[in-house]
Amino acid sequence: MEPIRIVHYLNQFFGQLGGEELAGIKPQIKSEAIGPGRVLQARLGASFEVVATAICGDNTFADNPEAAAEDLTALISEFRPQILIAGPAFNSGRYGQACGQLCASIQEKLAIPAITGMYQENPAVDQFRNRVLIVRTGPTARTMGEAIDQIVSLVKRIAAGDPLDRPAELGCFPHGMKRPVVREQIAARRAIDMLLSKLTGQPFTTEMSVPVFDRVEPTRLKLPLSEATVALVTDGGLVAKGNPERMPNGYTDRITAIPIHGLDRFTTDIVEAHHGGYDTQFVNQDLNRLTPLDAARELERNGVIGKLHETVYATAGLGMSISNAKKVGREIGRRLLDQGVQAVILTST
Amino acid sequence: MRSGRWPPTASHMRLEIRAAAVNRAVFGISTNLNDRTLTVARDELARLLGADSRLTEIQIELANPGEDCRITGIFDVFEPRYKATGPNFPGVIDRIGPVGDGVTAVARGAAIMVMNALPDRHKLTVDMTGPAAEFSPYSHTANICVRAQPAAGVERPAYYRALKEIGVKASGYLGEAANRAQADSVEVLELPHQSDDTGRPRVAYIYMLASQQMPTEADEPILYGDNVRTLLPTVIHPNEILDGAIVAPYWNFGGDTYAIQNHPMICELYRRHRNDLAFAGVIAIIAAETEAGRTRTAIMAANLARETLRADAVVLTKYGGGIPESAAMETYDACEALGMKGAMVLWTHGGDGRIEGSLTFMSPRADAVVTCGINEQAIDLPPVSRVIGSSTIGPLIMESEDDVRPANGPLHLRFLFLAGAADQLGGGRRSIEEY
Repeated sequence: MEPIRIVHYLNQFFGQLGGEELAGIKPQIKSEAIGPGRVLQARLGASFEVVATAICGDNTFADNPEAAAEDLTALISEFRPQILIAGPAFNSGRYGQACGQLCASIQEKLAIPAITGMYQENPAVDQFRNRVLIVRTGPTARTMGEAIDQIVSLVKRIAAGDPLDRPAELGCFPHGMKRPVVREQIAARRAIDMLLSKLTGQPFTTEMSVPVFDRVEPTRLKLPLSEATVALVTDGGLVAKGNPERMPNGYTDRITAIPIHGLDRFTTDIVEAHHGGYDTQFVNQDLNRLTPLDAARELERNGVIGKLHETVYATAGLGMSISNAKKVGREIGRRLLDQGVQAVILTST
Repeated sequence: MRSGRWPPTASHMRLEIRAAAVNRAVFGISTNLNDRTLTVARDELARLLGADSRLTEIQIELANPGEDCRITGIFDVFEPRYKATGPNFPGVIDRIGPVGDGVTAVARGAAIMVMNALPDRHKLTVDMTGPAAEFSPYSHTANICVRAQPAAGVERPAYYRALKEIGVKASGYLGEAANRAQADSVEVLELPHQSDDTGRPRVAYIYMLASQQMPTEADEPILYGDNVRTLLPTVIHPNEILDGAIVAPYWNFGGDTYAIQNHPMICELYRRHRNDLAFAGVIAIIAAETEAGRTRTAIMAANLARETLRADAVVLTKYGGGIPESAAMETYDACEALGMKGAMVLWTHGGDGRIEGSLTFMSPRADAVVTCGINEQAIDLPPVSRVIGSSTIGPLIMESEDDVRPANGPLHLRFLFLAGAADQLGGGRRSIEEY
C-alpha cells in the first residue's frame, strides 16, 4: 500500500532557516521532512510519508494572514497531501495564529484533515478551536517529544477512519460547539440524577457548561460631555414606520438607521418597535421610552451634551448569536466613529 | 371549644388517579369508553362546546396514532379527566374549590387538541405518523381536535379565554366516560406528614409556571383561575398541580396543560420519593418582568425551600424565553447561597453553534444544567394526505412575514412548534452535546 502523504508546516525557526531576523521570509516549500518533521516521520513509520515541509516567516504570516494562507495552500496542494500537520506551535502567538489559519484554509480549500498542536494559553486556541483539531501540548519546545507523540497518535486515528467528532477524547481542545442529541432518559430524570450526584459528591457532567465571556472595558470620554456628540442606539427593535428596511424582529444580523434631524421627539407616525422578544405595546404608545429622543434633545438644548447625533441605529436583539451581536456592534461602532460620535447611550430591552 | 371537624378525618392530601386506557377514538351515537376505544358523540360534544356566545362554527375531528394526518394550529392540549366530586379545573368554569385530593378519572391515551383559528406566531403542529412520532407524545394519543371561530366582535383575549373553557369542558365531558369505565390502573399520590427524615435528601421543585415578559391577560386563568400577573413564590402541593389547579398560559411556550396534568418533573419526584430522595414539595413562581420582581422571587423562593420545605436541594424548570433564564439563574443562585444544591432544566439557544451563546444569562455557579434541546432546531416532516386545522402554517416566531406554507406539504418545522417536543417541564429526551 502507498504510504499516506503528509505535508508539514513550520515557521522559519523550526524550519531551520533562522531566528527572528528571518521572520519576514516568504512562503516556500521543500520536498523533505525538516526538524520536528524528521521525528514525526520516524514515529509515524513507513505507512506515512512526510512528502514536503512548507515554511513561512511568522511576521509574513501575521502581516497578511489571508494572503500567506492562500500562497501556502497553493504550494502545498502541488504535493497532493492527504493530511496536513502544522507546528506544534506551543505558546507562540504568531506561530499559533499561522498554524490555525493554515489548517482552516487547507481544510476548506483541499478538503483534507489539517491538525496542529498548541498550549492552552496560546491565543490562537480560542480563535481556531471551533473548526480546527488542536492537540494539547506543553508551553514550550521542551515538550516537543510528548507533543509529537500526541500528534502521531491523532494522525494514526485519522488514517484509521476513527470518528473525530469528540476532540476532547482525541487529546485535543474541544471545539466549544454544541449539537443536538437525543438522550436515553427524559430531562426530568436526568436533572434529578444530576442533582443527587451533586448532593452526594459523586461526579456528574452538566449538559451546558458555563461560558467564558469577553469583558469590555468602558472607554473614557476624552472631552467634556458638553462638547461631545452623543448618539442613541437600541437593541429594542426600533424601525421606521412600516419597517421599510425590512429588519426581522429577532435572530438577525441587520441594523436600521433612523434619521432624527428636526425631530424633538419620536411620534408613532414616524417609528415603531419591531421585536419578538418582549411586549412592545407600551413602547409602541411612546417610542421615546425605548429610545429617549425627547430627553436627549432637552440635554442638547441645555448644553449638557454637545450635540445629539442625527441618526439612531437599532437592531432587534432577540435570539441574537454572539457572532451576530459582535458583527452588529462593530458595524454600528464603525459608522459612529466615521461620523464623529464620541459617546453612545444604548438602551436595551 | 374545637369544632367537630377537629381532628380532620384525613391526615393529608391523597389523590387517587384511576386511569382507563384509550387506544383509539371513534365517533358514535353516545360517548363512552369501552375496550380501550373512546367513542365520541360528535353532535352532543359540539352542542356542549357551542353553548358559548363568544364562539361559532364548532368543528370536531379525530386523529388516531399511525394515521397519515397532520394537526395544525394547536393552541393547547388537555387530557380528558373527571373528578366526580368536582371541581374540575377550578376557576376556569367551575367555581374555585380544592383539588388534589380524592378520586380523579383519566382517559389515559387520549388528548384534546384545542385549535386557534386566529393568526398567531405561536401555534403548534403534530403529525400522527412519521418522524414527528419520535419527539411528540401527541403522535401516540388518540386526539379529539376541537376548532371554533371567534364570534363577530370577539377580541383575541376573550376568544382565548373561550378556547381554554372549551378545552376544560371537553376534558370533563370525555373524562366522565373514563369515570364510568373500568380503570386499568390506579395510582395513589400522597406525601404523608410523618417525618421523612430517614437520611434521604429532601428535594424541592421550583416550578416557573409562567413568564410575564408577555404580560398575561386580565382574565387569563392559570393558577386556580388567577392570571399570576404578580404571583409571589407560593408553596403548592404537587397533587394540586396534577389535578387541575394549573392551566397553561395563552402563550404556550413549551408546556401544554396536558404536560402539566402529567407533569414530568413532579411524576419523576414522586417515582423516586422514599427511594433515593424525599419529595419536599413544590414552589410555584413566575418570571417577573422587572428586576425587582425577579430578585424578590428568587429570595422568597429560596427561603421557602429551605425554611418551610426544609429542602437540601432544589430542581428548577423555567417557562418562556429570555427573561425566564435570568429569573431561573437568580433563583438558583439564591438557593445555592443558602447552602442548598441546585439543578435546572433549561433549553438552549442555538445561535452560531458556539457554547457561549447557549443562554441569554448564565450564572457562573450554574454547574448542573440539563437541557431540553436547542430551540431553533428543526425537523423535516414529509407531506401528509389529511390536515386537521388551518390549511396553511406560518409565519411562526423566527420566521419572516412571507413564511406561509401549505399545511399538507413537506414541512421544515422548528421543534418549538412541534406540539410536546419542546417540553420545558422536563418530559423530552432532546438534549445537546458539547464537543
